[in-house]
Amino acid sequence: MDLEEDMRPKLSQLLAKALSFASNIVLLLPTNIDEQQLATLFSEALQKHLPKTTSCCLEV
Amino acid sequence: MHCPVLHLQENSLTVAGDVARMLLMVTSVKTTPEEKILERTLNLIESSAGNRSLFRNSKLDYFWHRRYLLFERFDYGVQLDEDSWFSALPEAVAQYLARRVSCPTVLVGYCGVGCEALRFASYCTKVLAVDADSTKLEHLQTNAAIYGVDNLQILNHEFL
Repeated sequence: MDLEEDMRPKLSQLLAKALSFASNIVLLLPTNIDEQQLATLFSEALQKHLPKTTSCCLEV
Repeated sequence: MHCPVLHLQENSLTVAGDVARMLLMVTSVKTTPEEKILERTLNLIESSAGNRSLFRNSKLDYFWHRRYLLFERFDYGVQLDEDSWFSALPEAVAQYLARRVSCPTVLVGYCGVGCEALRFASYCTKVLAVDADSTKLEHLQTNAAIYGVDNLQILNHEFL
């Protein structure tokens, strides 16, 4: 399952919205996702929306 | 326990829901504790019959058998729409999640009928539940009343 093409709204949109007002985010996703893509999307969203000094932790 | 159903002709009734409705009409004038228990039981019968009809002769029967995993209080009249049977998170999992990440205020986007929101409400001070589907939110309101949740604020709005 592609997190960008098969999801409505796209995961990147959700992350952008969530990171605009929260720092702790819990996502409930199906099991058949590409974890590599998930990590990439998170990385991009965090770079874009969080200050560089902020540490983050991703649990799957 | 005194039961007014004895005075009704059961042969003329077809489904459990009809029985429940008629009995509720009869019992509505009584206020004794026993009658209240009876009324509550009949509400359960009616709501379970309504939920069950969704799955009759359907491939979704699998989900019906998982109903108590999704909501332990399913028989108290928990309401779900058809989509929610697929997307609902088992109550035990939602409870673990809520305990693990509990914090003062939580915003639940795309809350649906409230599997996660109801669990978060028991661990957090305030829970905001957002969904664009008003039908799901009506079900959530009912479910919140069943679970005795009073710190849940429901917003009918698109999350993005």
